[in-house]
Amino acid sequence: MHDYRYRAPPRVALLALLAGTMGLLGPSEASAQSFRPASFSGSKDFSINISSDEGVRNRWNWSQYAPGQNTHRRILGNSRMYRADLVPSRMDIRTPVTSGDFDRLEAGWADRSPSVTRNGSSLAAMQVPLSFNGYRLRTLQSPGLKLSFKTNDAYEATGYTLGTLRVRSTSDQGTTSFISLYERVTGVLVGGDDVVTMRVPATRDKMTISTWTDSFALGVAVYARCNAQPSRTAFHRRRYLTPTAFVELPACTGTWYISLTNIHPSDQVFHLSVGSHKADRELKNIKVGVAYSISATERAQVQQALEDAAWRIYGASQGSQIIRSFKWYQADACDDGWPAEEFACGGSPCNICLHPEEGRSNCSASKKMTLYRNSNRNSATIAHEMGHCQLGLPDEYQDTTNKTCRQVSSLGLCGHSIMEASWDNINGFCTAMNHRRHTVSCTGLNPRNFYCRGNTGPYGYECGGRRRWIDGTSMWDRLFDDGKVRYRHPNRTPDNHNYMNFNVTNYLGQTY
Amino acid sequence: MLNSKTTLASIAALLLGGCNIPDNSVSPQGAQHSEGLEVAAPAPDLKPQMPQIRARVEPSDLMTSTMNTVPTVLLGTDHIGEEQQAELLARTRLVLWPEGEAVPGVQPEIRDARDVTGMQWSTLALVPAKPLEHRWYAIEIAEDALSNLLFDPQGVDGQKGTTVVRFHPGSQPVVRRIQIAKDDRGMALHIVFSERVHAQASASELVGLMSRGQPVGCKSDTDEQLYKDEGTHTLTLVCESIDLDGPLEVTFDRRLVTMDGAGLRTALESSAPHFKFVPSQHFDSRAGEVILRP
Repeated sequence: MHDYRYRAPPRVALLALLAGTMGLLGPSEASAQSFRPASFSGSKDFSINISSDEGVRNRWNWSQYAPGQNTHRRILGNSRMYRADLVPSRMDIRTPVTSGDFDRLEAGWADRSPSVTRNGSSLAAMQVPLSFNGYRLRTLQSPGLKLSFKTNDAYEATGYTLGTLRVRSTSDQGTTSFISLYERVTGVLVGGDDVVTMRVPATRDKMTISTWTDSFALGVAVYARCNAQPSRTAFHRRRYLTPTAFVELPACTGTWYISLTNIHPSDQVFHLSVGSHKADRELKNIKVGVAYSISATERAQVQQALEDAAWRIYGASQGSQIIRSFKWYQADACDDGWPAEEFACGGSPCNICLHPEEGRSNCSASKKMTLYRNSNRNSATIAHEMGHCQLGLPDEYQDTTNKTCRQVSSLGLCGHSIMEASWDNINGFCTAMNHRRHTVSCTGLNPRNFYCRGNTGPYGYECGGRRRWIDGTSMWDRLFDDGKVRYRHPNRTPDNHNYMNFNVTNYLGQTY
Repeated sequence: MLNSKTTLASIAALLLGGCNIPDNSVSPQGAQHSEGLEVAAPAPDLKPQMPQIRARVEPSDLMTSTMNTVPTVLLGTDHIGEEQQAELLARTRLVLWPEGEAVPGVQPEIRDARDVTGMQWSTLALVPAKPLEHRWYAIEIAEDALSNLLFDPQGVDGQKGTTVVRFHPGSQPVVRRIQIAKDDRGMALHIVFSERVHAQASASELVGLMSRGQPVGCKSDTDEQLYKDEGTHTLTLVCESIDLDGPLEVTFDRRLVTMDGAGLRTALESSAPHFKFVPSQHFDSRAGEVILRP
């Protein structure tokens, strides 16, 4: 992490702090082109509403968070915000039975160890103390806060909601810091005129920025500029958040500087992530064949589900897999077997076939997806099948139907992955850290969360003399090993946002 | 002893794999049409026994309105030793431009960092004691700062064996680069500005081209962006022919303004920019095209 600071004698820095706190210092350089971080006196509250409900949930008790989590959130504000209190509005995190690894919420400056750890049910504010980095104050812009939620492998409770971020303002400390690929940012902007700037290294691949606000407000914009901070007259990309904005960045040799600005009178909370995808991971014109008479309504619903699934894949892969478009064919045949299907979509095989009957959607060994009518409007199912057909990933559940053990029809073995169960709020792939750490019992098929067989997680299940095995390689590792991503995901729980709030932007998953 | 095929293979491997050359020095997206960003340069002809350290400077040369961007030299290497640090520090300065006087009170900071891409960087930040004024500055690096430094993108040659990268914290719209390259349709002229410009007239009217004293007929390729309020960083003109060996004059109409209505300037004067040069004398062999850096 980089964090450049001005060097000034300590007394000067302390005087500046006092003067800034008292509102005596104005902006250092007034300019019509400049973005300026807002200042205010006293403290200011933002409704940030960061909740464990956004993360993976217990598969069998949706009111609970899942075990085996290590989520990470970066919280940013402007370069004047130097103190932060995170005020919970709900706290139900399992109190440790013994010391050691236990469920907990941690917060602190992003470049330091957590300064406050919390579990239990107390709603007292989590205070991140004032801190100097050399002669400059740490601010919410640099390095920002890091919030982590870590759960062990059992005893989950209902979770937390951080309702309020309370900050104080001082003189402009003028520094920015790097955010990372695969990092979810939540930031705050003061109403009227404010800016938060961050940096991210440009990669050799195409890059995207996804950003959105909690509520729609005209006047929130994202600016990106290669190798320097953006200004109102100098930037390479600008988009207004309505309330989402998807930015496809052009080539850059260097560093992207990203600024979020707000001229709306009300305070705003924004979210942001940056993705990078290899050129060959931008998939276009995926051929969809339908060989039955489909109504206009059903067709529209299927196309909407395809678009939603494209965004789910974008989210699960943290922006590394782009499903750009589908091409629709009203085919003579699609799923009828060779030779008809070989030519059904414009003279070549279809990639996705819509089946007129109900059944179990699947992806064949030849990577053709068959979507049955009972699930062709289910974007989660389509995203799961795209995980097979477009990303080459295996299942992470075992089908127990018609097997010796009939207690459950399918047995999940990696509950943090859409390749296990693509329903409810799961929208990620496992890393090595959480692969196989949210499962049913190894032995009794009791639908509860158990962590089996030590630190490596369960190998599968054994029941009635039958043993089923699950691959030991996480989906993120598979994507990396197969060359589908250039950069391995850090060993923590990936962000779980499904990006379906972007499905009105017409950037991904469009059908022609 | 290596045979010639092995040696060639080794060099090819170095060119492809790059020894200490950061991944993100390569720009795969057709950069000449990408809003004026740096054009990807092919890998240099490296000698296997002497790995080059790729160096980058932020802000880039002739960027304006850089606000509070901290002048920084980034070195694509795991770590530079104390001796090399001292050598680099002694030969890198933040100066007033064009005076060349060192900005007082600058504190250099060197850090090693690894980003999520796995890239290792050593960064040298030239941290000023107070916010920079709205005037021209330059990061000046002696060309012998480190024997194996390779700048990408390069700045311009300064005085006494130095490379300088010039920037302006305030708004000062200037022409950063003029590039001429062959295009399917003729000769493409890309003019890259330091800030976004817009106008309610075609670029073919606003940019005057005279080759050997004769007007050159060109069609604008970027008017759609130019007409928008937010304008564009790059104007592209496709011209029938440009004599690369004769003098070429490029002039700009005053209707070409920034988003807040400011007119173009030369780097150091308030007059509108006017360039007269012989294109072939500015052929950049790394980029494979003519690049005029004012």
